[in-house]
Amino acid sequence: MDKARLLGACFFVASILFLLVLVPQIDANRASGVSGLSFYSVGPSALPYFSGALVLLFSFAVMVSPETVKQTSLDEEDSEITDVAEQSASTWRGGLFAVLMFIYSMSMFTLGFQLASIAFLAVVFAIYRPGSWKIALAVTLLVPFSVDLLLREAFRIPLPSGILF
Amino acid sequence: MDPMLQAFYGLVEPITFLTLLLSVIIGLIIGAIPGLSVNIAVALAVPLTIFMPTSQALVTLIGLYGAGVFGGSISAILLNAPGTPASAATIFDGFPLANQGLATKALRIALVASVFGAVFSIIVLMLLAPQLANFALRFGPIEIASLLFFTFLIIGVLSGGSMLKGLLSASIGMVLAMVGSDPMLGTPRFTFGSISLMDGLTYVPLLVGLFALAEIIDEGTRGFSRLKQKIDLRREDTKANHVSLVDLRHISFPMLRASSIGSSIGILPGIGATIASFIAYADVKRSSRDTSKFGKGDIRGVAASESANNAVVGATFVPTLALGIPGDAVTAILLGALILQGVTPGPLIFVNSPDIVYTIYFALLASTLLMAVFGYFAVRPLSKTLHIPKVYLMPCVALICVAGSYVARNNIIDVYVMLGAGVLGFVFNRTAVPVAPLLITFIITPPFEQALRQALTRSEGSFIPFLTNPVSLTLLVAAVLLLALSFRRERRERHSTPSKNKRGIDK
Repeated sequence: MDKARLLGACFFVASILFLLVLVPQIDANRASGVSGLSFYSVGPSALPYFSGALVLLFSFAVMVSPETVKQTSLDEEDSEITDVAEQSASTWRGGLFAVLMFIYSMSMFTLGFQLASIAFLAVVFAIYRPGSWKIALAVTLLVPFSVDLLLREAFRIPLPSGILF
Repeated sequence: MDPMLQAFYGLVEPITFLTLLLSVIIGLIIGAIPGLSVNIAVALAVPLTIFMPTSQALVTLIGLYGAGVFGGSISAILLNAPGTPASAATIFDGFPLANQGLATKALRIALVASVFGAVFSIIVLMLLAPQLANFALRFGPIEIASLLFFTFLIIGVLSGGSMLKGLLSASIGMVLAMVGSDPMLGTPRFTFGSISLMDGLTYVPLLVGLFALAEIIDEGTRGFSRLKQKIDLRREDTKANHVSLVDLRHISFPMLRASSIGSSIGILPGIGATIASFIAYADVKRSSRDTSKFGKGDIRGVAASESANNAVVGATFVPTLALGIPGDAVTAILLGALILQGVTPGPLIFVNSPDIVYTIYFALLASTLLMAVFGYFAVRPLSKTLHIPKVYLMPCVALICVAGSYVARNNIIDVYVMLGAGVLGFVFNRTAVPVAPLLITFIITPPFEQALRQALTRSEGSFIPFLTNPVSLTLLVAAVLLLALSFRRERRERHSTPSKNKRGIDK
């Protein structure tokens, strides 16, 4: 299954769950909340049903459309001339960066913005191997400090200081 | 005070003017760096603009937008890699010119064409937007709901290569806009008991994730590789790179045609500068008597592409200001920034906040003039920005994404929303699903829901008024025609592609 069809299938399943599980809960909330309206009113679940149905329809169409079937055959041709191992390695690098971002965001409250940012940049540079370690060190120390200073002093917006400090 | 004078005085205030100056310079630099598009520049600036006065916020975003589109041509000409997708067509003739030792000339032609296109579109904006707004003032809930649903269809159908993928992206944007309190009864929807989600998904982290983080993750997959600068401007012949009056006369007609195409496309929601520049390039090639030089270094090719993509800038503000419907992804970001400032774009903006409208006109004009000055004198320093290695730049931008998402509401949930949007944007980029329809639909869904529910409440659930109203009926016919034409086009392409592929393999 090619990437677009897989994406279509994921959204198809997600939209079924959305329509069958999540949207009916809105009416349940409404029943316990606002009641006794004496005039005709379109309920809060009308547009969620409508939008969910649109996702269901278009994700199904993407999943089965001939265009994506054609894409599969092209991908197969491409795969003969491209290095499969390199492709999976590159996707792995992107995924790793996303995971690092998630850990960085989680640690911001514990370590504080500056320390978490320094740790994040240090790990990123260690993985992605910059040309000059001196520049990497300067960037690691100066950028978090400058961003924090700019937001704190110029815009009066405090970033998390961390619970350890 | 007269709103026009008020806007002018606001713009010439030292702090506002300095902000505009800085944003133009930053826009030129960011636009020049491949991988950092105008969308990223504007998305990253929005969190900061929340804390600025409205005029300062507007000049920041407009300065970045206008200058960033031209900045993209620098790397297109010098690196053979567009800084922004809108400059992709500039490569066809820009890079061959640079290879002939005429890089500075190509950059100056690009600048002249960009300024021409930008000024042309600002005039179009000034002439059209008030008229359109005046017409739209008569709209009630039925017309508004029909127009917004038509926008949903048009951005879905026209914004990407595949109609179905565009429509899927737009539908997902509509679902995401459902999170939060229902606008009419206040019933919580998909908040999972979180008070932070009662206001809905915040717009800033969503756009930062979709545009900036998605691009950084994509660069991460390539290990933040560095493009080598292939052209050295210091070795060029200064005399040969002079732009003469003959050159200007040679490009004047292509610029005019391209600017008209760019402005016409800019008015339609969701299509954007990239498609405009390709169409304009194809048009100038078709309309020229001598086409032998195209693709080998013809200044008309550079001029057409750059005029068209800059002519989109002002024109995209026509539907944004007059109807509250964003013309492209950047104006969607600007529209969101205006809402954050407490200003609601739409026909009433011309009545309630004319000073904001004039500020936008003046900011567009001033940023174009500043771009002309900086672009002319700073071509060489700007070309040096291409040396900045992405391995240092991209992690720093990621750090700004986190800080920018957090400061919008001082809420960690927004950082997680940004991360989720970043991954979604990355997946969309990898599967060729356009991101712009998602963002534009996310923005137009709340007014669509409000108008639709008002109309249906008034008609007690009947759709008959939608079928008898002249505006909604016209839009319905237009939507059916649009869908039919797109479906036919895609079907024809599907049938023609296998034979093309076969020919390609035979070669």
